[in-house]
Amino acid sequence: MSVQSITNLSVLKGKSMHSIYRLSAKLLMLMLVIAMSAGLTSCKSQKKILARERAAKIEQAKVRLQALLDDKSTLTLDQKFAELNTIKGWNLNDKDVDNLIAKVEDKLSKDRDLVRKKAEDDLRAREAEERRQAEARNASKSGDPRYIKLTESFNVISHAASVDMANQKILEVLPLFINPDVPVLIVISQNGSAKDYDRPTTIKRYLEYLKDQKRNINQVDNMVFDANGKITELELIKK
Amino acid sequence: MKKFKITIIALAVLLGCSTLFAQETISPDRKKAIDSLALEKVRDLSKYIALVGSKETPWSEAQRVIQRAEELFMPGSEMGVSSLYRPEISYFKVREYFERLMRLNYEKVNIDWYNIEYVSDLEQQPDGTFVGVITIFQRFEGFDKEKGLVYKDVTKKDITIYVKRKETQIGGRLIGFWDVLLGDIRVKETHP
Repeated sequence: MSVQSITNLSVLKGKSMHSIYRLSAKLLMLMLVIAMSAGLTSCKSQKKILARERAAKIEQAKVRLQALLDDKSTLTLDQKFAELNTIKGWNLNDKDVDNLIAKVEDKLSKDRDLVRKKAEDDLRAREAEERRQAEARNASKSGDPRYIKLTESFNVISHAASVDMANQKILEVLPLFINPDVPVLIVISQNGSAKDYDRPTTIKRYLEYLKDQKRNINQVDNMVFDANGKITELELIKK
Repeated sequence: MKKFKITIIALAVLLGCSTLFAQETISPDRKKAIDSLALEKVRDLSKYIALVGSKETPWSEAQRVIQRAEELFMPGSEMGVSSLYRPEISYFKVREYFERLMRLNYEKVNIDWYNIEYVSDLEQQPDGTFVGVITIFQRFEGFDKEKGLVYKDVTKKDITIYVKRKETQIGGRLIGFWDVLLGDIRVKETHP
């Protein structure tokens, strides 16, 4: 190879390298433009998705809040409050949704007051009914000579001046019962039909208790009689 | 080994469940009624002590009353006795305490309990039993036939109280009741 041809080759090579550099720069620029435009498109579509999701969420919130407002749901009051809190937790910052939230809050508060008032009214009515029943029971008992007789006997035993006098009265009272082992129940507290009792005793022991303690702190609440009119079960209640 | 593990787990679960069932929740009103019932049992005991201590109580009546008093206590309970004449406190089983009380060498004895109140409220234990402590003050007076009042002291005593929910059949019905039992009676202080 001559010196001339080597020089030509170098020139050619230099030109070609220069072209490659320029081409590469152009390609790089093109890729950058494509990437940027792709990025912008992606950002825009991301925003669009978020906006669409938010709009859907707002729509969903409106429907659910309206359902709460219209009382169309079968949820309990506690569940309704939970539903409201869930929607509030989305923090949608939408004027319509915020208005609906305020309305629902107001409605649920009123509903809660109504429920509370109803529960109080029910309780008052139940207590009044229990009082009425107790009064009716006591009225019938107060007129029943058997209740009066037993109550008086208990008082006599507990206030007897001597042991002998108390024992004499006990002997008079025991025949009212079918036997000296008739159970005596003493109610210490009562809530509706649920009763709490003291340790059960027998009539003989109870009469002796009155004699020993010299105080009559229980009143006759109920008696069960057999066909011969003898007491088979006695229930007392704390005065 | 696997069967052994299963048995242990089953036992643990059963034990846990029984504890849960035992710990019945009590409303304030029911708790108040139980508190009052326990105080009443202590007042009953004070009356029994006064009756047995009284020289006017016939022997047969005193024996019957001792029996009733014993029924107020947990088996094996002890009662503390103190005197101004000796520093130590003696403890006796309930029946022995009452029998010694009957034999006291005085012409007349007055025993009065007062200021009966809770020093430690009834608290529910894991097995469902309520345990508390009631404190009482006892005024004791011993009289001689000729000299009159020859001995008197005031003793502060603590009584442990156990209240347990029990059930029994009466007339074919299942009756739930609160069984109040007294435990040891400890002497806290004695003075003239």
